[in-house]
Amino acid sequence: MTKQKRPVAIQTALIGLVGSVLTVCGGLCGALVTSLVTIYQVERENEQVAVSSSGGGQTLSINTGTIFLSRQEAAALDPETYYIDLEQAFVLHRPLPGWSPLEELTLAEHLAETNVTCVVACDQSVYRIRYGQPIEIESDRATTINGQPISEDLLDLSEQLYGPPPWKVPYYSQMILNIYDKDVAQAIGVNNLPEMLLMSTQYQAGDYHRMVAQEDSHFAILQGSSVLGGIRIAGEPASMTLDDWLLFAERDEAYYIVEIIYTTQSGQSVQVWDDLQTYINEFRVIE
Amino acid sequence: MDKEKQEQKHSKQVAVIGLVGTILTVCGGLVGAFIGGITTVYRIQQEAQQLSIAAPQEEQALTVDTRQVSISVAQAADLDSSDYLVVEGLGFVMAQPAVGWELSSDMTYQDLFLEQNTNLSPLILFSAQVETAWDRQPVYRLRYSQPVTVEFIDGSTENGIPVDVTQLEDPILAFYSQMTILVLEKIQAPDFTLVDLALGWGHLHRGGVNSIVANPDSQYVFEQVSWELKNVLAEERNTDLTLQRWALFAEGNEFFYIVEVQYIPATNQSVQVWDDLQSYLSAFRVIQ
Repeated sequence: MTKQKRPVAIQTALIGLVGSVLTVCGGLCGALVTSLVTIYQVERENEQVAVSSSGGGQTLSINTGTIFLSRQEAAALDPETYYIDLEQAFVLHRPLPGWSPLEELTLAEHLAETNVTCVVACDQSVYRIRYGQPIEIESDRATTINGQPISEDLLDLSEQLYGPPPWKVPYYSQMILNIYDKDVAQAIGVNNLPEMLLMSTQYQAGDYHRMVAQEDSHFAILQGSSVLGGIRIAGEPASMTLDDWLLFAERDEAYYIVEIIYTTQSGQSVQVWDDLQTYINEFRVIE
Repeated sequence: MDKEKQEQKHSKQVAVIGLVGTILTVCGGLVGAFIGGITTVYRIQQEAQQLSIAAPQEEQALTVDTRQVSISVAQAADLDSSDYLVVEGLGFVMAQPAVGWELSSDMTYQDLFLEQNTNLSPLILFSAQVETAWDRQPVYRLRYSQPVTVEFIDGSTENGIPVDVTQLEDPILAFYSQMTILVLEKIQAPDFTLVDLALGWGHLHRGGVNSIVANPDSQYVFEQVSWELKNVLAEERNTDLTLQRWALFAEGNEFFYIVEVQYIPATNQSVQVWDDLQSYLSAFRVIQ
């Protein structure tokens, strides 16, 4: 009797065990599905936007999900690696080897270096990191941008700024951060982030080929490339590509414009590009 | 003995029934989780494509499904010609006019300039393109037949800038709710990318730009701006009027398309005007 009962009890227990295993598997699969969906949602939110230059040569990746961080998170960052400005509410990666020290200028000072007289928002802050020595480009009225002749307006402006041609202008691979107080921006007619984007591109001759501006987000990204033709570098006929990425972000009190300018030149270390990628990756707005 | 056997058999049956129940529960849970997951993914993807941009302080939000802007030649051929105008040679599809609307299909970009003293289309604000190859580029327009007539007077402003009435050929302008499509041959606009066009249109509306949307996985740009007329005479009374404009920038292999929607809110105007504009924008397609 006991012998007969045992197999039945074992069979019943086994059936129960199979049921339990199935329940556990079901629960785990359900959790897995939920997790995958959540990961998908998070991935969508923390979108890694890769914006390539028009020639497809360089692709800058920007993690739009990590542009903003809290004061506590900023305070926890290593100050040897990061420049943390709690007052202006931003974080920059400190200059890497081969780069200039982080320069802090006013907009007027920054523009004055290219002979441009600042007219509005002149006291606004500019932070800048430059790589090594500039490339001096010699241009004239026959120079082309993206294969097209330069407009008469722009040529006249160049003449006003630099005198009669040829014009010698230095170009750097660099990262520039412009910060505009919203009060100051409003006084010059900029009421929101799209208008800051438009103001920043109004006078810029460029071939913008990519824009990312997601609905209801507090950032936008622009990429432009200019191929300068009919120029001279070190006295020799040459052409040069300037790649330009702009990241626009905002918080309640200010707008931030991070500009990455990359000049392609022979003999330049690929590290320059990697460093620029680091600077844009590590830029943060403190909310 | 028999009783015991029966009890054992019975308990086995109970266990099997329980197991079946468990399996059903597991399957149900899994199917439910999959359905929930797929629905969530679908919703996220739809939201990512469905752009809905409202004008500030206005209830209306114009929606465009950027996923559906492009269709194939075969799909275009299947469209009902009573609802859609398929312009195969220029690579796009637009809606046929609803009651109360007029379709102009033989216009050029230059024609917009010729009527600028009677109606201001924001497209003509690309003023640097006057008397260039753009002049002959085709324009299609759906216009609501009843305009809002506005008279500029001393003290009138346009986007905050005082209007010098003495400089106007006619101080009375007719503003229309309308959708205008400029089809720009890429070969005639070698200096422009799609983004350049969107930025150019935005630059011309600076001071009134409310939204620019360009999703990372989309080849389209969508903008919304407001054009404020203050201290003007409209419908025989002194008033302020805000024109709302939306623009969708799209491209095919050969052409750029600037689709511009202008809405003039007016008292006593049927809400159908707004609904028609929404359906016109929803119907626009690029044939790829």
